[in-house]
Amino acid sequence: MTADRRLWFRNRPDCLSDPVCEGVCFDPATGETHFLGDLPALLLSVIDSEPVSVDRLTQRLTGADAIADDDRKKMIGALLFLEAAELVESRFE
Amino acid sequence: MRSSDSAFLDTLGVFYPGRAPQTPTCVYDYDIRVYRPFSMRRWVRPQIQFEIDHLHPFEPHPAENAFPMYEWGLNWCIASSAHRYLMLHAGSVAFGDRAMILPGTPGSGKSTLSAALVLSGARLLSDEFGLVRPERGDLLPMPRGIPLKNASIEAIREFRTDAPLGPTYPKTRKGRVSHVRPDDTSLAQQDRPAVPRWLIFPKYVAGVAETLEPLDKTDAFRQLAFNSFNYRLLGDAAFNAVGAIIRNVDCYTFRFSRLERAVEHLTALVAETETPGT
Repeated sequence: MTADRRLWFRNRPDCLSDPVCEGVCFDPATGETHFLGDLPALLLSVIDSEPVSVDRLTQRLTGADAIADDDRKKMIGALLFLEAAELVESRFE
Repeated sequence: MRSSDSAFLDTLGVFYPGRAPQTPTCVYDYDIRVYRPFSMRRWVRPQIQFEIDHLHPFEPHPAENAFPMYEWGLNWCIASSAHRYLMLHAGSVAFGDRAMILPGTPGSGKSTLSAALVLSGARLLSDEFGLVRPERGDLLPMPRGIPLKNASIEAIREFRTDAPLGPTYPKTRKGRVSHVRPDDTSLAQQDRPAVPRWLIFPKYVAGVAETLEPLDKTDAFRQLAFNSFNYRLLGDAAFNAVGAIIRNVDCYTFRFSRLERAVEHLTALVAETETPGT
């Protein structure tokens, strides 16, 4: 999967999160409000302007160096979803 | 607001007694004129024109529909310009200083339910528009006639035989329309904002037993944002305002069919909130 070899980042102002409604966030860059599932919301909270690999994101999220293949696939799926929603960007290493 | 149509002015006087100054002495938001265009249509199937700030946003309507046209025109004025407020597509009523917001799409029964609550003692804040001050999070009253359409007219007449309904307009673009006059208390307290306390998404379903169910706050956020006219336009101010409302209210969906029972359910909810645990 090519997404596996990309670096992920968000080079825009931080999204605003609602303190009560989990996963509800406002993107000041686009003016869109998003209703994110648990995993995309978690990922968004650890992605910043520094482009990082999936492995690095895994570390930020779980503290582990590696996760099960199925979990990794879910993570990449969530990253692609966030990219489609214009919440994060990616580039090849 | 100026008009030379005496029938329209008579109806206006019933709904908003003493509220239309003859000579404006203050800064006013809209310069509205409701008049009969000078043409053959003055005599043959006469028409009425709605004018705001010398613009004519609508085609003329049949003259007998002047009052509903004025009300719709006023809605248009607010929807197109009152963007300092978060505009919710909702009815809203107050119990004391605490507001119950009733958002809904057309046909959900929100106006009928709002009217029934007002006829049962709630204070009318507004119908159609819930105006929220984003910086304070409170709702501004805008008590106007509550428009009822088609079968809702009979439903309110059956609910309260003495309901203060205005004339029935049988042939408008929205079908048969009649307005419930706002009560004197609501008019007298139109400068008294209310703080959101309950958020109820009503849905009229013929024959259904009244059911009030708690609604997840994230779903409530989504639905309330969806039911705002200018959510996208206001950007982060709207996001924060909706979030603040959701944090401070109890959220429910409410399916109903009988107005008497519906009002009982909602007033019981208010009473429970006043005396928690009882």
